[in-house]
Amino acid sequence: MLYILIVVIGAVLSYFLPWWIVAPLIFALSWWKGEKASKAALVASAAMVTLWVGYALYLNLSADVNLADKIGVIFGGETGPISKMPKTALIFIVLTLISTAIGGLAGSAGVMARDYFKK
Amino acid sequence: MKFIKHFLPSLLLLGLIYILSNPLGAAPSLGRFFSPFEGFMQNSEKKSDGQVDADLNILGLKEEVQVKYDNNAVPHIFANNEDDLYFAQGFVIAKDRIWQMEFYTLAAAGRISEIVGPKAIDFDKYNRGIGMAKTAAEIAENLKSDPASAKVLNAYTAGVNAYINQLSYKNMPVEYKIMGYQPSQWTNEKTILMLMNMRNVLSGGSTDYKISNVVAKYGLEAVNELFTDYPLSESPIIPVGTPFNFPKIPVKTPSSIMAEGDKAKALSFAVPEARPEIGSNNWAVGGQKSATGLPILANDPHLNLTLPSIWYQMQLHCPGVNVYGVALPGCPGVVIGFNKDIAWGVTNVGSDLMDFYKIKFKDASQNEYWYNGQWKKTTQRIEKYKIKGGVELIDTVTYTHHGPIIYDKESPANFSKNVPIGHAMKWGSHESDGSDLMTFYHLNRAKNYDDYRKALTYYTAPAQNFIFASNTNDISITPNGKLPLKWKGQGKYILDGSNPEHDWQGWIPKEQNPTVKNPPRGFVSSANQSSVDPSYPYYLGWRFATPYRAIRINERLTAMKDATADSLRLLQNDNMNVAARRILPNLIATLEKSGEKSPAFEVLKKWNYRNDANEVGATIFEMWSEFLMKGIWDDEFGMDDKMMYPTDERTFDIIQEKPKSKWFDNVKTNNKVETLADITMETFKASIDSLTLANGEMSPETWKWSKVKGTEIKHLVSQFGGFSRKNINNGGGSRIVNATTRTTGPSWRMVVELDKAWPRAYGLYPGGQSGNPGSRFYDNMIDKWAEGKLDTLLYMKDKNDVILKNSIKLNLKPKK
Repeated sequence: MLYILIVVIGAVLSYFLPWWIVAPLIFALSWWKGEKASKAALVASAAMVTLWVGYALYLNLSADVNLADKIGVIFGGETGPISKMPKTALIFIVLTLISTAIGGLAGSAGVMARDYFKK
Repeated sequence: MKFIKHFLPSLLLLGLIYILSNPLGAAPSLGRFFSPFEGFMQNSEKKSDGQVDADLNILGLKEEVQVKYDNNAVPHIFANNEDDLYFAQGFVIAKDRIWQMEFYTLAAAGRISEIVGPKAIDFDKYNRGIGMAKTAAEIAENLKSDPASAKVLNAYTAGVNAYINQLSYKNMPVEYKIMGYQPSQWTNEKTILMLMNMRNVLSGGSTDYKISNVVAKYGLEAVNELFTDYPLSESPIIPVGTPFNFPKIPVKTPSSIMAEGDKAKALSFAVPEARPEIGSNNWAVGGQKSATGLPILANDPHLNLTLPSIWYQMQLHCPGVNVYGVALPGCPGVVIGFNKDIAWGVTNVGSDLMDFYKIKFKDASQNEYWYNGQWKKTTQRIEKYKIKGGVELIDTVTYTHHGPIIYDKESPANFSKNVPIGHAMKWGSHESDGSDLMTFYHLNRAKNYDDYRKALTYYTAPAQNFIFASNTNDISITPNGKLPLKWKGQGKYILDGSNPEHDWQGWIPKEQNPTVKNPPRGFVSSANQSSVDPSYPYYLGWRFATPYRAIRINERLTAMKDATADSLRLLQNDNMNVAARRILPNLIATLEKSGEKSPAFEVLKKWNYRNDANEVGATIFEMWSEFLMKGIWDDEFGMDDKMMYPTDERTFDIIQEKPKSKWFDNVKTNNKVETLADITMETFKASIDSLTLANGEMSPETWKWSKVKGTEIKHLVSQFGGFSRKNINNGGGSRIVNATTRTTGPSWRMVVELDKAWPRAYGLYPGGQSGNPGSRFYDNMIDKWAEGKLDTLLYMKDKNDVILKNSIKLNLKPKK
């Protein structure tokens, strides 16, 4: 349930509001629906990854030109160890890291903050 | 304890959001940038994007404007009045190129450090120092009282701002997202800054101090021998024998022609590496040479190759005008193009518009300088820099009546190596009268030769060779602009800033600028070579592009009969190396005598003098000629002494006519006198060694010209490698009609067949209409350009013309 709520409401809010709006949303939804902190973290991470990485994948696959690859070249550099990685993968790794971290932290933060008051 | 435990994730979350919301060094705020909902992923264009008709309601339009995009994303704009036409032009260009437009204006105004930080401060200081922003402000102010110019500028600016005002972060060009800033409002002054940028690119160089150093070391005699004012093999733009029937304005030559005692040591600048010649070609054949019996015109301006491209293709249509061609992003009207009756194009004149005056200040305050026997006051202009990251910097630029003092302090970081210290710059680009835009405005509407001549009178700078052809069978070319009246050789050397006789003596009356109409040879052409032969009564400059491209173009056009658009397209792609054709037989004979038998030499002997993409001979010759120049001149005119080499063209004269010249001896070796043969052999060996080192053993693949040349088209921010295109497979070279070097080349190729009924035109440029690296129209024309092909340009009679099938309509409607 938590998963679906985050994905659906998150998508709607993200469309209109700044990127960080998902953090308070997950916090609030986890406060409301979350059970254990670790579980909420896991579910919220998964939802956040679905939302960000999923949408990014959709944009990337439906695009004419692989812009992620070009951005990857700029951020990964053209020399050095990172430059040898596939650039699109590099971008999606960063996306996954950001969304996992935000989702996980916000999920556990919501449950643990609630528990402080309710236990 | 319990509190900390329970709120630790919240704190970490806030910390993470904080980090991701703020710029990290050069990187933008990563949260926003990576969010697929608003970050860079939103700049990926879908296949379906822009493929459906759309309506937009815009404040500021008078009536509805229809924009029809063809399948190359070229907009054809149909408006009912001029205000709406230029409004829509501004809107439509901004839609594709707003980041690029703003970037150019920031560069010209010396404000790049505002967006990239301290690393651009020297670049900015140079651009502020040469006063482009000051002149742009003056021109914008002057044009306020010129109703015709103001009308066009205001409409265009309003259109650009209408686009900017509806932008949000989500749909902003990706460069803004990467560098973390937003577009600011467009102004008429920014349009002028865009033109200032072209003035700087095309007339912003000087060799005055280098030549003064040559005089200081070797005397005027050496200059007269090696740095001549007119090449022996020249094929000037205005055909020799063209009469100049006008009363000449007298010009006085003073007894001293340069600043006294301005020795090399006073000028502590390092000389830059010789930069590849950038120039342009244009020509028009008259009806007697064409298959149709009417003129055909061709133009390919050569500039730094960049993405987004410097040009933007479009058609502009409203009552009174219907024109097709390329516009400069940021400037109203079409700069190179055609209409129903005429076609026109431009190449750079390259006459000497930048001189330096040695200034004697009263003291270090630079408040007064010696002029005409007394102390004269300077003015000071304060320049404020708001560097990204929060630091502010204040700098003062001193102005004399000649112009700004460029660098009064020695600094190894000084950006341009082309400018002497403590000297005032007099620059034709500082002229703020006239209205360059009106020249294009009137050319866009011109119907005949008289309209063309009238349009040219509005023009100031940078001086351009305006070529013209009409469907009434007139062809013409005019090196045009505001050209200073100088004595012969004035400004070849550093001038004396205290001597009034050294001031520019006025201006050549515009109607006396060189021009030719319908010459007997049946064609007109230019390739940045000398505008005129010495029979022209005024001095324009001593150093123009070497004549190789001009020689080739003129010999091909002379031989041409029944020319078609395709014959001219082929000439644009001609790879004949006239320099090699001239000098290689001499060099080969020398090596032959020495018993040279290397495989590279065998390849070179069989080479057809063409710089085609897969020629190995071209690779060897180009490398060798570079080494040969260095081998002959570096000992006397080396970089350490802040001098310059004579041109390769002059060098070849000496090789052929004075093979025993003292200049061939390497003055740095004792007890040995090197001969031309020694240098020829040594440099051949060295060039082969260098090629082997860089590319491995010679093979048709590893040494082919296109690979070694390695043409690349970089994004305007050269560090954005992902937005650049590398290793483009094409031929050409700096001395070749197809003037494609590693980083410069034909930035637009156009051929127009004039016709009584309706012209047929072809063209394309190395880039794409969209400035968005996430669009397929970002670089879609590059491969076709590299192959030397042209697109058929869809020039519509009116908005319902059926030649445009499958257009995408964008209807711009006035917002009530």
